[in-house]
Order: sequence, then C-alpha cells, then structure tokens
Amino acid sequence: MNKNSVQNSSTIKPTRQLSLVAVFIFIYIILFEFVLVPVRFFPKPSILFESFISLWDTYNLAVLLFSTTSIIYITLLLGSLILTFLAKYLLKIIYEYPGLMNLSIPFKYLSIFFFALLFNLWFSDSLTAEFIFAILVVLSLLISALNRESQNPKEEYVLTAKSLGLSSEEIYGKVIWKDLQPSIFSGLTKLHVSLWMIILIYEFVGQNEGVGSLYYAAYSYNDIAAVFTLGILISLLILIGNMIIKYLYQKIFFWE
Amino acid sequence: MGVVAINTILNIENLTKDYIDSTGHIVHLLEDIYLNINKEEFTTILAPTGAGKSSLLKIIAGLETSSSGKIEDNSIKKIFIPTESSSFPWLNVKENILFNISDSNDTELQEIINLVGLEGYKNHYPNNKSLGFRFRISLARAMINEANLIVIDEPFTKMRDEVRKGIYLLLRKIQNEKKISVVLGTSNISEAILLSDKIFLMDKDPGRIMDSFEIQFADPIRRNISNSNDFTDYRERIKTYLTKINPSKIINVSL
Repeated sequence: MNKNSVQNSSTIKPTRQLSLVAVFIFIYIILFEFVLVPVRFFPKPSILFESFISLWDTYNLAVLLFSTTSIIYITLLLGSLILTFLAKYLLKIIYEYPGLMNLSIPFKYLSIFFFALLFNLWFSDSLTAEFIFAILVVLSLLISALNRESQNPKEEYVLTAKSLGLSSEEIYGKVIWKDLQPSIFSGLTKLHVSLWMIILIYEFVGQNEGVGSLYYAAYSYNDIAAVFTLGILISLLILIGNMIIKYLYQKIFFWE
Repeated sequence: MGVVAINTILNIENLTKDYIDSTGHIVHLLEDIYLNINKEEFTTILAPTGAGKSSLLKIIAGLETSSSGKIEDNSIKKIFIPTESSSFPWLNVKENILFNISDSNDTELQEIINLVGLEGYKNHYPNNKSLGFRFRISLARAMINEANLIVIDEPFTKMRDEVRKGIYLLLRKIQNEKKISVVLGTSNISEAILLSDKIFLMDKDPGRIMDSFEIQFADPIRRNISNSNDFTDYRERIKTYLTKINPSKIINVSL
C-alpha cells in the first residue's frame, strides 16, 4: 500500500473505467459471438450467458456471492474501525517499544496461502473461521501500513501539540493518527483487491460456502464457461467496490 | 525554576546543547548561550542557517532539553509556532484555534478571529489555503491559550512577499495590543530590524550569541518602511558587524 495507489488509479475517472470495461465486453461479444470460429479457450458470449443462468439457478450463485461479499466488505469495514480504535495504542507501541513490532518480521515470509491452508485444516468449512481469517488478514495489512507510514510523523504537528500541552497518548490519537489516516487508507483499494483474491483462494482450498467453492466446482468439471462467467462477474464487483471506496475516501479524507 | 527580574520573563545562562551524530561523534550545537527576554518585547535571534537557532527556540519553548545551563522563567505560558504550517488540515479554523481547549468564550474567540483577520473563515478548512492564512490560525491559537511568550521559528521564508509584509504588520499589532512577548528566529536581517525591539546575533559551529542590538526607531510610525534612514543605519551596522566577525557566513538581507 502506498500513498499514490489511490491517486494513480483515480487519474482514470470511474465513468471512463466503466466505459473501458463496456468496450472490452463489446469487442469480446463481437469477436467470439459473430466473427471468430468458436474455440475451446474462449467460450461464446451466449454460452457465458447460459452458464450464468445455470450458476444462478442450480449452484445458488446469489447466496454464495452474498456470503463472499459479506465477509469481504464487513471485514474491511470492521478492520478499519478496529484500527481506528486501536491506533493510539499501536502508535505508542511503535514509538515507545519499537522492538515489539519486529516480532512480526518472521511472519512476513510465510505466504497467506499457508495460513489459508492452516485455517481450513483447523476449522473445516466454518464461516466464522473464514471471517476470523479475513479480519486477521485485513488487520495485519492495515497495521503494517500504520507501522510503515508512522516512521516519519510531521514534526510541526507534534511540536505544536506538545506546545499546547497534549500528553504523548493524546498526540498519538489526536494528531499523528489523524495525520496518517489519508496515507494509510489510500491503500484500501489495493487491500480490497488483495482481499478478494485471498478469500477466493481460501474458499477454493477449503471448498467453503462462497464463490471460491464455485470456482472449485467449475475447475473440477472442466467448465471453462463457468470460470469465465465468474471471472467477469467478480471483476465487475471489484471495480464497483473500488469506485465506492474511492468515493468514500475522497469524502472522508477531504484534506488530503 | 527561580524567580527572575521583574521585567525579564525568561533568562538563559551558560546553556549548551550537544548531540551525537550518525558517525558517533559528539557535536557541540550550542555553546555559552546567554540571553534574556523581556516582558512585552519583540526579540529576534538572527543567525545563519544551521546555527542551531531552531534547537535554541525549542529549548526556550520547553520542547527540548539543553545539555547544561540554566533557564529561568516565571512559569509563563509559552506557545511555539514552527517553521512549517502548524494548523491541522482536518480541523476547520474554529476547531484549530480551540484545539485542546475545553471551555471557550464565543465573544473572545470572535474578537481574536477578527484581530488576526480571519473573520468570515471560522468554518473554513486550512488545507489549500496560503501559509499566511495558516500562520494567522497559529497566532489566534496562541492568543486564545493566553500565551505570555510566543516562540516563532522562521515561518516567513516560504511566504509570498505581500503575504509576509501583511503578517509583519499583524505581528507587531498583536504584540502591541495584547502585550505579548515574542521571540523570533530568523536569518533575514531586514525582517529582524523591522520587527524587533532587540536582536541577538548568533554565530554557528558552534552556535553562540555574539552580541545584541537594541532597535529604536526615531519615528515608530515609519518602522515598517524599509527604506527609512533608521532602517538603513541598523542594517548597515549589523551587516558590518557580521562581516567583521565572520565574512564567510552568509545572512540574508533581502526583505
């Protein structure tokens, strides 16, 4: 997560991003429905549509989508709220006991795939476990962003607050945390995309209730049309999710 | 802290500040600092860049400790205004001024807002506003906190000329009306002469006070006119003194 992630991607306006997606879909329909001979690697758009209907009716796509999106968006929201609540204590640890943060270094080299496997083995097919896994992922990524961004607090704000008689804890909570918020949450769109991938992998590996398990079924049955349909659907959901996050970011962190 | 002379609100004797640099060597940043700040007086510490005036100002404001020496004050309320803008961009003007104040008097707040020239901007946010606008907020905050001493660390260098001149006038006006003592750190001779009642000249490597000048204009109304005879005389005297002491250390004379 870096400061520029939102700014860079927001250089293309949301309406333009949607138009771009629409153009791609249009080209895909023209090419694979009418121009090119059907090939095994790229299914015809009409087959994708049939696949969508079948996923919706037979495989309970709506319920599974609801389950996956609920976990993703609730944990994103909850993770951000927990970080906000804990920020001043975390900053106290970062500034006053920097050695404690180093304890997390060995975990950086373990892939999230390892933890996904572990959670699935420990708590097979449990929605609560999936939720706990997701919230731990969100929190660890947000805390790591806090640790990174807090290395250079704005001296002028700290001096001003000290001069006005604020205690260290008040400075952490009322000044440094407020100042860091825009840079930390600017990475939320990236975190959102990563979380989608991580949760899909988690559900795929454990065949839990969610879109990831549907991917697993499609893979098992060699159903390329279903893989494509789910791929397009999830991309659209991620795109819309990112647009909403960017909108909220600009409203909440108006001073950035 | 002991009690100092009635007219003196802060007295520093034999102050030093050392630190260990990245190579492990001890650096003597400040040495043998003697200075006193008088009640209701505008004092300037004029020094070249890198002389340690920011550290000295932070020590005066109680935000840093010295390595040795004696600092005496009468438990006065000191507010520090740093070089970079210190208004919090997530708070509006009113919230910035009342930051960390639990009970406020609306009439007093409005009076201070009017005095610093921010009337009509109470609910505006300082992000995207000029440095002058933000400095006015810092001044208002110092006044609402009833500061006896405002310590200002070279905030004018990045301001546009016309903004800076407006701020000079405002600072003098507030200092006279509210009877507040001000200490300013600067490397600009003209700025120091225009604003100050007393100037301490500071050397670098290590930073120490070399001399002090009392500034008195024959015609106080012409104080803000930089081409007056008084102004030119003071500027030449200080420039000559600095050149004699150490010609290699450049101090800005432009306004």
